[in-house]
Amino acid sequence: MFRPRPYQQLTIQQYTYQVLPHPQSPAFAYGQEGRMALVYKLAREDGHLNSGSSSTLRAFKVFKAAYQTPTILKKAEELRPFWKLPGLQVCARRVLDPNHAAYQPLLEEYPDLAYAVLMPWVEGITWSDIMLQRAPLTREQVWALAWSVASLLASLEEREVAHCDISGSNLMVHWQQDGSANVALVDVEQLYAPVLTPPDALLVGSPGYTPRFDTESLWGPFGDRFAGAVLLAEILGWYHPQVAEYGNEQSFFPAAEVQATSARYRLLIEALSQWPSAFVSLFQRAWEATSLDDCPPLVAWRDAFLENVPADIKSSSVGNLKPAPSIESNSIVSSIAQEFQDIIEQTHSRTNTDTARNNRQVPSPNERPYRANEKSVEDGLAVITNMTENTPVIQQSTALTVSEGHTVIMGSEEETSIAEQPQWYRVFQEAQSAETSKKFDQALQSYLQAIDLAEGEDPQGVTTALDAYNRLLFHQIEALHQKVYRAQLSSDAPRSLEWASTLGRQLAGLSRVQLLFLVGGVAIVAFVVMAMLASLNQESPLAASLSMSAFLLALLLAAFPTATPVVSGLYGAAILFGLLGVSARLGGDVRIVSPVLLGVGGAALASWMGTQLFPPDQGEEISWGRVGWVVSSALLVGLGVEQAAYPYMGKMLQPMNWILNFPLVVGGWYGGRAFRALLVAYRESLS
Amino acid sequence: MYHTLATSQTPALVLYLLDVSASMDRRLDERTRLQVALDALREALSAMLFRSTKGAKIAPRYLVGIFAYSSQVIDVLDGVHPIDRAAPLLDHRLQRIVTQQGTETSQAFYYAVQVLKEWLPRLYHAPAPLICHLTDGEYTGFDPEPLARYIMQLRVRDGYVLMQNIYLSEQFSKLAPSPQNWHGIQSNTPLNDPYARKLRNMSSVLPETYRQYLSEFLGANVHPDSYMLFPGHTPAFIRFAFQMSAATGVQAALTQ
Repeated sequence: MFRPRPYQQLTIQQYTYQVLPHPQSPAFAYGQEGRMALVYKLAREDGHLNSGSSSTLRAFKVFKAAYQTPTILKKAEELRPFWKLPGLQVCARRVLDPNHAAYQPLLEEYPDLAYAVLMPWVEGITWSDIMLQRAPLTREQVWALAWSVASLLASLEEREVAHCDISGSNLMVHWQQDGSANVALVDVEQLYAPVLTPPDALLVGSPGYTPRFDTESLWGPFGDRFAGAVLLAEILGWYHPQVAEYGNEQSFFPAAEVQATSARYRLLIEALSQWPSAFVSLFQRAWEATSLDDCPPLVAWRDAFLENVPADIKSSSVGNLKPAPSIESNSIVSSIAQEFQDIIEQTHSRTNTDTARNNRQVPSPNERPYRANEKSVEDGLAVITNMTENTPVIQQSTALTVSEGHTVIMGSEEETSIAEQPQWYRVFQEAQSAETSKKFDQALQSYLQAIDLAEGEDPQGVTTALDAYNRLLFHQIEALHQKVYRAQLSSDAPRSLEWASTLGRQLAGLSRVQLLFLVGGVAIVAFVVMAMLASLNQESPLAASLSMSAFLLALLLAAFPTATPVVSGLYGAAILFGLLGVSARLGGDVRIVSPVLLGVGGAALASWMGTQLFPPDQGEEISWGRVGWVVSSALLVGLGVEQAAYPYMGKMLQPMNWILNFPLVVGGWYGGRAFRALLVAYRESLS
Repeated sequence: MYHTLATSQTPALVLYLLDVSASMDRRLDERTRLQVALDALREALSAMLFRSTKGAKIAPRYLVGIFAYSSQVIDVLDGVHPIDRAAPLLDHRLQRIVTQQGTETSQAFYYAVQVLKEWLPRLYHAPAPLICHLTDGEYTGFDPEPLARYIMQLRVRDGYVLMQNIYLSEQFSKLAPSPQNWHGIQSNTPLNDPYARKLRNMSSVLPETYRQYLSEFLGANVHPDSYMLFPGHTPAFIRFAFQMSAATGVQAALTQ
């Protein structure tokens, strides 16, 4: 995958090029992906890198892996003679042949550049860009542009040349100051001409421009007729605000609506009917064709422009039609000729050989030898004009919506009884019933069935069923998060902790006042018992080392605030050690009462605030509580450290103390888990 | 299923969930795993940009959200943005990502659920959203698999939400040397690592349209019925996997 950075340099032959940045996002290279390749914009280093003189700007086409084949080389050689034809300057191209020594250094560094093509950059925007922007053009603008396109396509047709993939994306438009539009074609790999060999893959055009009638391939002299007609109709209709508004993204018609009598089609016909009738007739003839032969020749489109200039256009600045304008200038031509001189010279010699062999001539830009001899345009016009009279006006589309058990046809306000409800809706109702009965799996299945049944029948129904289906799933996910995950904590606890879960559930049944008295009573009893125990062990090495262990452990745990059962057990151990250690150190001194109560109260407050500020659906329901406990624990232990911790630091490192501490570690772990199981059961019961 | 094209009106939602636990600081080639992953992510977004560029304009064909997670989830872009707005933010925002302790995968998935809850109703006619999850090791906290299975049941018209997992693990080192010679992970592919098996359970089956993209664009030969579980034992595989995340089809654009 060749993914260049902006301003990256590439040396090809004797020239150095820089990859230009994206105009809208300069941190990225300016690249555009097409069906077969990515095209990057390069500037030759002797040119201006940013604003860029057109003559030194290049398109660098890097083919996708599946399309990197030697046929690119052969095709490029075949296409080169066409580069001076109107609108086909991209035919001047250099291919990075992997068998050519000059390209080896670059290809060794970037193997993906095999068969990449360097060619002139065509300035302007694509017709697709204009459609994407949805900005309607003036009648003068669309006339000028459509004329340029018709003129270009007709001139190619006269030379028995066809682009074979005409689309909005492949038409470049460059507006001129006098209101006219210069045009050029890109993506010319499937160009047809009698001297060219067929492409490997028989392409079938671009979505929105490809006819639906059976055609093996568009590669042939008439390959542009259908797509050209659609393109010209799009352009001519674009002055109409609604046409601009309702266009698809890259083509006016979505692929599924091509050659169908859709609302878009009727809208476009209405817009075209504001031009001379010849244009509606030509478009309808192409739209209703059953083969490319049936489509009107592009020369007929050009003739229609020449013979049917409307009065408002005649009096405008674009009233004087000029023949076959295209995006090219002398400076570009000379620049290309100079840079591509070596390959152009090669081509001339080869072409002469090929020409002699094929006994056919490559068309000259000044030639006008071929005139398509199709059915009389007038014949077609006569038929289609009659049809135009019967063209239905745009009708308001109907939509089916669901409302209180009835289906209502919007617009007609016709109500349908429940018995006549569409099948998807009956299934949908079954799903709703199943959901009400809490048969969620069945409800989900029925919603899915309703989605499938509504598909293709009722778009609104699809949305309704999708909405209900996803809503139920989101509800399930919430339930999973709220209950199943917590239940997992309980179920993960060993059987020996079941008592804690039971206690938690029973506590949940108490009133707040009862709970307050109970917790307060237990806390007082616990403190008194611990103080008594501590007084019996006053100044013992065990108590001192415990306090230090707890302090370090608390700090450690504060650095790893995770929710695994093991770690939460260690939290419990830290708290227990802290309380025991401090109590032991101070031996029942009454002065400990107030800081301990302060610490415990602060921890409880921090826990409660954390829970309130970060409710369970944020997924961090007790982390602040944990932090509160750890901080309080460290604070309490710190009181002990202040007095006499340092002398006992060394004792902590003695293995004997580890052994002495071990039962308390286990006890703390068990206590922590029990407390957690209790809390989980308590919260679950409450919810 | 999975044929809807990404357009301005029906953009493709792609959410990236990046494990930034401390182990992402380990070396992979000459860079850390995290650097390799972020570079690959940047390339994936540039691919989206190229696919969205129309002349000088960027059509908002993709919606992108990037979430880095460890013990908590960080919203790198501060929400979901269209590609035309996400791209200019990218370099600056990616610099903010640093490794941290913990691998709370379930939290990241739950965060993704919240994003989907907000966006999915607006995207019923758009391509199926894709969640691209990169991790280099086992989760801490809760098992993310039940959540992942629910996520894979969410759907739009185009199909179910797609879940892609990229697993940076040395256990894949015996696989093919390059992505082009790799055939994908199927249901019967032996996986020694239990977490790799879990990730396979949490991965969607690769849609045919995406498989074609891998073949056409990257020259890969991934077999049908492969899971969207991609090995990430070399930078080339990581780039390959991230490119897949940008594979939602668009209508072909200008190719000159």
